Amino acid sequence: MTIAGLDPVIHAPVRLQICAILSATDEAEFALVREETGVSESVLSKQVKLLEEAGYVRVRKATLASRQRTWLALTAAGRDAFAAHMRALTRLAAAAANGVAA
Amino acid sequence: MADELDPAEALALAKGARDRVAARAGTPAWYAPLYGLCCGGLVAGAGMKQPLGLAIIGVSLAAVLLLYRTWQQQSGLSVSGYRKGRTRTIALALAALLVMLALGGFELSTRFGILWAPYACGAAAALTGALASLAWDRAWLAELAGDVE
Repeated sequence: MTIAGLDPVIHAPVRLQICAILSATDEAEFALVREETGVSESVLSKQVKLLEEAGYVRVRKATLASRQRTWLALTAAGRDAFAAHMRALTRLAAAAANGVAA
Repeated sequence: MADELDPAEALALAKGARDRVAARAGTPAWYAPLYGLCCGGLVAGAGMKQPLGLAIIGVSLAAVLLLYRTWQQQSGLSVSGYRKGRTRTIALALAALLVMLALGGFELSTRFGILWAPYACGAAAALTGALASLAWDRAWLAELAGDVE
């Protein structure tokens, strides 16, 4: 955690979107997250790896309908960190709107 | 994409990502009626003569699993019916109602000899299950469309 409670691991645009998508579900398929973030497979893999190393995302490979699929999920720590990050963003955005320095 | 976002931009980006998932997250039109049928089978099977009843319960359970897997495969999403929020209330209320209907059908047929009771309870469960599935979907989509937390 850094200044004003923002988490630098989450704050990068692609990682923020990954966490937002995963926060809505138990698991989401890698392909869906790639489509919705609009980045290439390699870029997404790199960003997911960073979240995984921080303990925020869990990666699971499973075969469904004879096709290997990769599923991503937020860990409990990831959910807590994302919720805290969103609270900090909301607080900062409100402060900025009111012209108050955070 | 810029590496640094101001707080309002970051909130909008997160909300946009959630909204895009919400747009593809709902179940197709056939899901709720089929889910209702599975609920009806589970409840009716409990009060029917055995081993037919057990076979119907087994088929209904397998059908629920297949139904969920099909949706999961199509949507690329996985979500627990008992996830936190209003969805959990709906899922728990449905589970309680199904147990009551199953017990009611069983008791009425075995104790009082009302042999059509399991079918009536099964029909009520089918309707309730389909409506609960629709309500669950609506509650989840409303959560997705709400503030990101």
